[in-house]
Amino acid sequence: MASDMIHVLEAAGLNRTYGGGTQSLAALKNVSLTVSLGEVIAIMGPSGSGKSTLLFILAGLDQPDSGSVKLANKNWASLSGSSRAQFRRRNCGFIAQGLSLLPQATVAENVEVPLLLEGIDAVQRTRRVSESLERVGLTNLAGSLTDELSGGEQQRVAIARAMVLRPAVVLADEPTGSLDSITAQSVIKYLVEEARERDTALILVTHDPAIAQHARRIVTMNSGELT
Amino acid sequence: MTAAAPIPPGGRRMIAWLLRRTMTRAPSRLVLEAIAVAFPVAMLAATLWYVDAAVQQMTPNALSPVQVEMRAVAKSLDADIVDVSQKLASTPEVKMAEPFAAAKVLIQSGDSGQMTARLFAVNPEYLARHPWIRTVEGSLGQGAMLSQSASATPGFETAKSITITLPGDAPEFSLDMPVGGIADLRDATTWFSIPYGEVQGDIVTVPRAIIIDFKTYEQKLLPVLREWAKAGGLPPFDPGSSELPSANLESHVTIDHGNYPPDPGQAQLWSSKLQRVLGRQAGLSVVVADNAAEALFESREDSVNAKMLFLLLGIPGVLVAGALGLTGVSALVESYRREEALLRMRGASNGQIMGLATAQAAVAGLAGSLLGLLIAALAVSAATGQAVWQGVPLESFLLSAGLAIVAGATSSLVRVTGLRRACRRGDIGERRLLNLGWMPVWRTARLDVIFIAIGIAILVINIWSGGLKRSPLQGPALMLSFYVLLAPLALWLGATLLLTRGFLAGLGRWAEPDRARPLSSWSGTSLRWLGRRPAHMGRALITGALAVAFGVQVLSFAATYHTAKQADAVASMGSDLRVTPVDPRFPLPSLEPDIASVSPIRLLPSRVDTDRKSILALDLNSYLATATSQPRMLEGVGLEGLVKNPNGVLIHTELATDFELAVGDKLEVTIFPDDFGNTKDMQIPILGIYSAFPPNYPISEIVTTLDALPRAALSPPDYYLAKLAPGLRAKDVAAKIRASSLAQKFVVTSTTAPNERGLTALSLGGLSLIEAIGAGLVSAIGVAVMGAFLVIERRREFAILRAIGADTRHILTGPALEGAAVVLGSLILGIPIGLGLGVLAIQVLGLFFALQPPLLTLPTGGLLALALFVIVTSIGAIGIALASVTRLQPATILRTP
Repeated sequence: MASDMIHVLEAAGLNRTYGGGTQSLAALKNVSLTVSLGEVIAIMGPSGSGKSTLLFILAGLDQPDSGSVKLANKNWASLSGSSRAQFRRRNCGFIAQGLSLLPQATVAENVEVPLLLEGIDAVQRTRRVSESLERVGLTNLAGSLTDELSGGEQQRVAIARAMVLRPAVVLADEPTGSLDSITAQSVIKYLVEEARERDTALILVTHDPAIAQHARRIVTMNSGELT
Repeated sequence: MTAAAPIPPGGRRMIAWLLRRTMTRAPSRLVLEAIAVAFPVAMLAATLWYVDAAVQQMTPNALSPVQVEMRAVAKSLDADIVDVSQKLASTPEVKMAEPFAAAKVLIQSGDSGQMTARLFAVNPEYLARHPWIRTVEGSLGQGAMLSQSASATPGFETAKSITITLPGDAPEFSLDMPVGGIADLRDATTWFSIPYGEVQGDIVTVPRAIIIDFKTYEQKLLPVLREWAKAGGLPPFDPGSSELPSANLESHVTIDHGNYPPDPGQAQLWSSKLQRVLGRQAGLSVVVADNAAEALFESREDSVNAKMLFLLLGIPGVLVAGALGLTGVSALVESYRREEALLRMRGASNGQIMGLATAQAAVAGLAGSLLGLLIAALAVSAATGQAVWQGVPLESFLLSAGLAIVAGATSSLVRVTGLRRACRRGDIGERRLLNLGWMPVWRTARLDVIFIAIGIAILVINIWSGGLKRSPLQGPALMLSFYVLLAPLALWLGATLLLTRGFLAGLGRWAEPDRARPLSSWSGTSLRWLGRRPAHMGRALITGALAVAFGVQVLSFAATYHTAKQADAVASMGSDLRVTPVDPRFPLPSLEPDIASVSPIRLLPSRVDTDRKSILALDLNSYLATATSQPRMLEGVGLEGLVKNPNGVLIHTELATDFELAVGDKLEVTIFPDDFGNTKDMQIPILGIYSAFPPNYPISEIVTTLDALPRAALSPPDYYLAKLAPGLRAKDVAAKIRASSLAQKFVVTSTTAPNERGLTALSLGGLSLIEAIGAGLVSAIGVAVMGAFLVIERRREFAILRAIGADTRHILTGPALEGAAVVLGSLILGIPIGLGLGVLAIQVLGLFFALQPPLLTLPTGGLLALALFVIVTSIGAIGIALASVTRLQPATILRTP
């Protein structure tokens, strides 16, 4: 990793243990990771290796027992409440595994939500939603409810939503886990292209090597440790 | 069931094992299910027990005006009535049996001429035991007592002794007796009523009466009467006679009212049985008349009406509480589905899963039923001020509890069936339902329109068949077509569903996804999304609106009932005060300045055909200035008609029905039918027909003026109506008069003892409070169920929102809006529906009161309290759900696909 690269995400000495006493399970053991602007990283590893735990901690959706995560030079631990939410919205796109869209909202509304939460005016929102949907090729489905869409289309909506505020980093937890291999390749292509075009760092959690090969860097986790 | 323990083999053992694990691992779900059962059980048990307790008061109310419960009437004067009395008194249920005799005699004092009088003979203790005979002065031990009217007769005012003889062809008889005192017999209706036969109880107001000691009668007069009877001078015992017998012997039997069963229906049967027992005990020479029978019969009719009325008031509460349980199904589907999937993965069969569901429902049903019964018992005990198991006979108590448990079991069955169907539908089915929109059975089957059509059809049929009316045969008892009360029930359901359909349709159209519009605000967005999946809000809204409408109906009904009761009390009095002379001869002095006007009221005996009636003779000018409420006229003219034609008469609807009289006919009436000196046959034109004419107590069936009955003015007023000067309170003025020297000559009352039998004697206050609180709780728990659903089923949605940068305020906006929509919607839909239903129900209520009740009495305070209660409890309920939402861990939720 070149030293002159700008680090958008720096995780240092992360530990996370679930449960307590004899039942305790160490999900993360002293994990450190840095991600540069526009970098695409795949985190691989078997089930239960701690990949998702790491991703949620990086997204500020879970808290480590020890260690720190700095995103865009801001430590997650220093943020709380609405400022934490606002910071996540602006800097961190998130794509959850499986169904990650709001079922009651249309395609356009799903993409518009982060813009609305950010307080962007209606004209700007309309323009940016149109642009985002056009980039993922879903303009014609803007008014559809999301459960009328195929799995691939749904993930493209999730990508558009994650990218619409041009965050510094996008975190995706098994974004193609429920898709067939052809659709999965198509979706991951969209995701990586979007990230590159927007110079957004992308961290993918996957256990599919075919997906991981789209990443510039692949890190592997095993029993809570980066190997 | 989250543990991965293996399922043990075997049928019942396995189900018991699973049940134990469910109870220990998911106790809150079981509690929720038990509450869903407890509500309908509590509402039904509370209603039934309250009705039972209320009906128990009807027998004492019915019996309170009965002076002597049974009269053993000798068929001939040869009967040994003292011996009969002793035999009757030995019957366990009998408190006492006292000999009584009456005869038509002539009395004379000094140089006065002979006058006819009614002679009564009783033991001196009799007068002390019966408060309706008031000794004005002296005592029976000192000699014969004169009635006030007899003592006021010229020649008898200062009489020291009298001579009693027999009229007509009687054997020679003369009995000199000292005058022992004066008795007020105006309330002694038993003595003047026909003792037996078809017109039993009709009062024959003879102008003069004397009372002598029974021993004197037995020794001196009875032998002569027997001799006269043997000679054929006295007519034999005639059960069909409409006149008082010339001479008769009776035993007056007093039954302790506490011995009667509290339920009027049972009391009537018990009384009838006792009548037969006493008849056998007394022997063949005596017939026993049941004086309580008519009062108990009417009370029994009223108790049936009361039960129906209370049930039809309370049934909506039970239905809405049952609906609450069904609403809860949606909140539990996800939890059951997860459990079922786990069980199947671990090898559970369909039978085992079904067995577990049944066992869970049984446990929840049992716990819920016990909880419901406990809540109902506490609520009714608090409302009636008496432990419900003490105020209600054991049989009724258990029957009501059993019915409530059956309602709870039915609710459980419907709920479990719905749950099983929802579980079988699965996630995909649920999502398909979401896509298609919320179309429950009532929407597809248009039950709202059907219910409204049924309600309107019932009302139309009722109006077409003549509307609600009083029974012409049963007097004050009502002939109610109770199916009519199903109309408000159907309209309540129909209107609530129709308005909900309208609301949801409007919201759905506004929220249509096809309309490409940018999002407006976060609240607007939440509302738009709410319009696309209104199922849970819709269910909670329907439950809430039904509950609020029910609560408002009950409160407005109870408030109007109270207003009507007060108006009846005022009409019963006729004016602010009633001033009754202790002795009719006492002239009323001026009562100014506290009393603005007074009006003398005379109740004159009369006879129409063979029926004795009481005429209310008014001094019209003073009455118009003094009366505080108006008559309830059914046909013709009222007071204004009497002003134009003071020689006319107004008659009660019952008299009009019995004798087929109409406005314009002439009423043939005999006034003073038993006072040969004053009796007169008259024909008076009928100007109007009323159902109530103040003063309503005691009821008079004929109203006219002194102009029409000049002879009436000769008799002293029975009492005076008095109207207060402005700004004074009746109780204060009454107390002032009682504290003055007038108290020795006049009795002042500010309230009458109104006709306390029937439905108007019931207290709806306690029941309405229970039902209103129940309605408020049902509404709030509906919101809580919806909140529980939001927490259970929208966890992933909240986590997604958190992941894309929504803060807590944003996440809570949606559920809070849903809660607010339900609460406000319930109030906005429920209050007008409840008021409308209240108006409908009051049309029925009108039949129970002397005066027409108002269209509706708005219980503003009660409605505000209900609304506040619904809002506060709902805020609490949704608050718990919102607090749960804030505790959700997005990382944990999003980890699963």
